[in-house]
Amino acid sequence: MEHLHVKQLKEKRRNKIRENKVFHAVNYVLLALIILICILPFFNVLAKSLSTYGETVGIWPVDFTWFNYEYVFTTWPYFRAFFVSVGVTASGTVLSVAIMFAAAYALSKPDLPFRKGLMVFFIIVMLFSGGIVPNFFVVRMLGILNTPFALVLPSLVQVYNMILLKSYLEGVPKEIEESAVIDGAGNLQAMLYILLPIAVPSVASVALFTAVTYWNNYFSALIYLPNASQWWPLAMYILNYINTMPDVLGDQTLLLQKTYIEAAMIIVSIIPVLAVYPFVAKYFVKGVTVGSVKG
Amino acid sequence: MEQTPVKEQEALHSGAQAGEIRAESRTSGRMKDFSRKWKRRKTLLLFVLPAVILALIFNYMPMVGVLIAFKDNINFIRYSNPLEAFMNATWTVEHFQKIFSDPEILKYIGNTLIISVLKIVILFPLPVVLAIMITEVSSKWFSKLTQMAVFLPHFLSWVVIVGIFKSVLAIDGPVNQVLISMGLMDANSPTYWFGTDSLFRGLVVFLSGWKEIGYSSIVYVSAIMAIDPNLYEAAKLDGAGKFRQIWSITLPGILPTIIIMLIIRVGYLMDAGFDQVYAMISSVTRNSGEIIGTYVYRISLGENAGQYGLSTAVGLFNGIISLILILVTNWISKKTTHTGIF
Repeated sequence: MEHLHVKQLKEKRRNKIRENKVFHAVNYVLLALIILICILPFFNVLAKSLSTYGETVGIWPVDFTWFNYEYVFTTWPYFRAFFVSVGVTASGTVLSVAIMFAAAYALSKPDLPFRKGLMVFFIIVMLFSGGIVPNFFVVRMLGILNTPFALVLPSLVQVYNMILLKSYLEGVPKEIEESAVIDGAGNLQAMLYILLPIAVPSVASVALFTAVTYWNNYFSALIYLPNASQWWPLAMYILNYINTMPDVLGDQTLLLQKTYIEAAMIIVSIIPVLAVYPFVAKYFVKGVTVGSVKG
Repeated sequence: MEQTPVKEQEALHSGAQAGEIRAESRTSGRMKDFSRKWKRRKTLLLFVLPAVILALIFNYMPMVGVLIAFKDNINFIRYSNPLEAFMNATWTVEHFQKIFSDPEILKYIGNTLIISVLKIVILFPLPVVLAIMITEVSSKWFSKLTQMAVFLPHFLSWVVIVGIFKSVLAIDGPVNQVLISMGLMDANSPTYWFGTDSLFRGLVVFLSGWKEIGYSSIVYVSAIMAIDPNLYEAAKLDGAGKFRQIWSITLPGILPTIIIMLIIRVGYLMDAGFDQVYAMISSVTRNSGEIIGTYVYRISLGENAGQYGLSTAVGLFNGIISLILILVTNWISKKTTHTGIF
């Protein structure tokens, strides 16, 4: 009887170990599949960007050519759009983070006059928007319609980012700043030289969120720059290129190669993102985790 | 219209007076407290000033601008000054009546809800599953590789993602090629994925999942990491297998996170994703794909531009429902899990 019981137990244990082994094997296989689903589309577009019109491109170039890249690198409007995106992203990110950090610094002080009222003021911004048409007319009345300012200014206030920064600053021990204030530092100095260096991780993740938002944004160009294609950012330029037919009267190959050129445009546009991605990914992860535990 | 600012001023003024009276009638300690605060911290208000000014211009002015929704045919061409055009138009509530009677608008509201609900029902559980799978990986480099690969699509523009899939799912693209060679598709009538109305919603959900599942899983990965490892050790000693451990330890451990995420997600029900849908849609797929966001754009500034009043009314209607949803879901979140977004 006793003997049988031990045997059963051993059998059970073996089954468990086998179950775990099977579980891990299946898990690895499934994850490998998921990785493939995530990256194969990129390889297809990469291969296509190096191919000549003809047979279906898989993940290897067909009839290898540099033509698509030559075309992209010699198309001035594409480059202009690239530089507009760089400029808009850089200025938008710097301004937005600076303005949000300053506001977050002030709002993190419990004895700021009108603090509650100001918080309500900003939360309303987060909860309700006037919508496309009123936004459009405000931008028009300001005289910045069809100018690059309309790509930067309307989205500078990012309340969610401000709240993230504020809750980070609230977690910094008061004594650190107070000692500096006793030494005669004003608010501005305390913010710039004491708190900013401490808050680098959260400022970095907020800056990266903002930069990604600006880099990927085509909505602002769509509604605020209808008649200023010379100021279109890259995303808007590519969307427009995909959705319009090229002037075929001049060159037939442009029509045949169109989707291949699009592939090259897409690849060039994601290179900046891919270049910084491995270095900054950890800040994104941090930012998300900070956001999730915030009460 | 000209009277409104005056009224507002009056209201502000009387409000301020009332405030003063109330403050005086209470203990003077509060006043003293405030004046001390004011003396010490008034320069701090300068730090908030840029944000306040920008919000007033780009967020509060448009909120006043929703009054366009109550105006009939504002003529922006005849009057170059938008304010003048606004004041010369007649008041109406017609646009709001239209929202509830026009079958076209009702259809687009329906599309918005269907796409949004499909996204929640199909996509919401997947990041949880993925997070569990990622945390079960014991090899460090494989775990890193997986995370890098699945987070990446989140950082790309919808324009780029739609561009990528227009290539992958092209009528003569690699996916169709594979399906044909496997005998799953007729070579003579390959599927045009982006140009078939009945496939559009499925495609929207699929692409949304491809872009966001990985990134959404981060929050669950960190929640799982926070679970006490001793619990798993104890379960192992008791003879619990992997599935039992996931069911009895991991899932209960991250349940609060799941609930918060679900509540926040439901709050954004009315937002089916303008950036995504606009980049994907064409006139062929409008029937099942047009959502409130793209419709509001199309009839005001897009293809069928000019119906500013109706567009603003539909946007306002959508905004109010969203606001109520967010407030309610946030309230529920605070009641049940003691966390909310504000």
